[in-house]
Amino acid sequence: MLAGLALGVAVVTAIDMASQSALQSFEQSSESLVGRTTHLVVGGPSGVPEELYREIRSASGTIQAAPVVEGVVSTLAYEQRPLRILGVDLFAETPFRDHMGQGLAFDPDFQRFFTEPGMVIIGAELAEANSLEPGQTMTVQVDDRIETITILGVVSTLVSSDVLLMDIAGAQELLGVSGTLSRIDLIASPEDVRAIEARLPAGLTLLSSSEQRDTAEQLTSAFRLNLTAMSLLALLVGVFLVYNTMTFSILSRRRVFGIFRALGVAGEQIFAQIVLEAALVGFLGALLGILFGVLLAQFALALVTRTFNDFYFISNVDEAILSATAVVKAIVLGVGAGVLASIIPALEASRVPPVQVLRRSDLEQGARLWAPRVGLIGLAVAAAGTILFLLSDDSLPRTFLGILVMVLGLAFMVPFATQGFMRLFRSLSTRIHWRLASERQEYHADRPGHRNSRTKHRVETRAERLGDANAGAIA
Amino acid sequence: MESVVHIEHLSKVYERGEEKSVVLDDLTVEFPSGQFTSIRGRSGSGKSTLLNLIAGIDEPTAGQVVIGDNGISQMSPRDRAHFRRDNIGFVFQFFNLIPTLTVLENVSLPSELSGRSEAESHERAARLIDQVGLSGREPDYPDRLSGGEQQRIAIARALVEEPVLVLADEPTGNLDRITGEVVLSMLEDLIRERGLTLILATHSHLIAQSADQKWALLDGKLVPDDETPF
Repeated sequence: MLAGLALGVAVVTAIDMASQSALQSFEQSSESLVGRTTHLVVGGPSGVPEELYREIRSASGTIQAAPVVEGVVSTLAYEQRPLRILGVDLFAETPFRDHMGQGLAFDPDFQRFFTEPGMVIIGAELAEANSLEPGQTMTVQVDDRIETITILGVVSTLVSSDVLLMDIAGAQELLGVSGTLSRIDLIASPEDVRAIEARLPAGLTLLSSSEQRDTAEQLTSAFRLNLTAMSLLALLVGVFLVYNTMTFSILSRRRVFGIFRALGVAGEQIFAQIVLEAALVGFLGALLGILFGVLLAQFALALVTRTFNDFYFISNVDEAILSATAVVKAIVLGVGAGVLASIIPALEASRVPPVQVLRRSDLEQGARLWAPRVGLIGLAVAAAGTILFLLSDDSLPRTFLGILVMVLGLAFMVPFATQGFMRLFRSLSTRIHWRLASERQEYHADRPGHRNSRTKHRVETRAERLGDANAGAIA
Repeated sequence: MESVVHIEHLSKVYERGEEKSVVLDDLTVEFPSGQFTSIRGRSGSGKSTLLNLIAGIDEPTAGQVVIGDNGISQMSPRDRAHFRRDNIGFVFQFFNLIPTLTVLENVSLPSELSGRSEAESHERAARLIDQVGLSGREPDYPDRLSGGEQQRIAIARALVEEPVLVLADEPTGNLDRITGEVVLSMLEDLIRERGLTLILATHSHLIAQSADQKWALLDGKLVPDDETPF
């Protein structure tokens, strides 16, 4: 029982941890890269011409501007990890971002950062994870080219752990975008912003940093929604697992509860005992599930991060973090689902007369009567879910809601479907066993003194019983 | 003689869809205190139903059961359960021991449910286990006992709290003849020793022979038992 509970909780916890860690990393990275920027000038696929940056700098003494070149490279070693190239003009960067912070280690010849191609500064996290030191080279792939870069220094406070900081000219050369910039960051007053906007060439846009954040959020909102939906689906699976485990546990002890009631234990005491046990087991299962979930999250994280990097932005996350929210959610799931699962069977065991609790047949009879009705309800619910799904257009929330309703409807149909399957299998199984038994009968019929009619009846009865047993076992 | 159990216009009807099955039909009878009363009937005649109604583990369709001055049928399920716990011992045909409790724990269960301490409950249970001849088997689980031994333990459990009334539903129905005779004899001795009231349901006229008062259930009615084998 604990294993079933723990599995349900573990799946939810792992998905939550992986998605939260990936998104958190992306948000932190985005925030760091924006820094104190108030506005940005961005262009289309061809980028922003370098000349615009010189014009902006010379136009007003009150505007602070910094050119930025960004791109993605893949390392050939280090698990082909994608890394972000951030090309900056260090002299213009200071008002915007503090890249250098505390330099841990530097080549004494730091001027090589400006004068030699392929010189990069990396963060301490990246260096530590891959045992990198100043002076080492890395081979990277840029589009279809293989290039070599050299680590000039390691800093503890680089804006993001997956960034390779380069001089802007070096970045342009490495990325093959000479003469263009990815964007121009600005710290400007509203009047200056209006003036710049009025002079912007066609094809370029001036955004506020909050607008850019909103754009990034919109881009990732579908991904967030998908992750949320996956988490909710895992939650639904978890609830089903917990529910089934708890229900089975209570039903298998139903007769014992009946004995207790026959001996004089009140129904309320039985109810309280069952629910309390469910809560306790749910809590223990949740704790166990959190442990499993932390282990499972490491696998889930690799998959989530890869998808994120492939479709959105580079965001390397090495470790899934267990937040307080995830812990609370896991405990609420374990305890809540366990208690929820126990309520109906607990009510049944505590409210019906004790003699009915002692009789399994009453429960089975009731279940057989209810299965077709619940099946019809399930069919209606599944149909409603299907319609909702088909009419959802491009709305992801409606799509997921439709799927959820469909899954619930199909779940309601399971008991009725099981009954039907059992009848079908019994029929098939009886024929198979009868055939086998007939062959045995024919063998014995040749022997003298064989009583054919009595044996035939025994064989038929046995075949039917075997058919029933097999159908029950499969159900 | 004072009666401990009064049944007044007691009926039980089972409904299955459109079909109605009248199991007990307007029974009115008194069971005397301190006596052994047998209720004989074929399988399916309603013997177990009658005992279940007296014990309060089933609910009548009509009528009432009064034990002493207590109207069982009017009580709430909770009060009925507590009354049963404190005043009635039930011996089932299929023993109904708790499989995950030891012999000692099974027999001491009614005492613990009544609020006695574990030590006192175990002491009372050990005495009864000794009286039914199973001293030394206290740590065993029910599946280690034979059918006869399990029923003796069930009897010990039914008597541990000195109930006013003991109900036995085919206590030897699941045992062979010799074992059944031993168990029945033991039950009767223990009941008479304590002056308790016993109502026993059986299909056997041989078992009913030693009863002080004999009834038969025929077509839902209680009639004096003429000891004709069914």
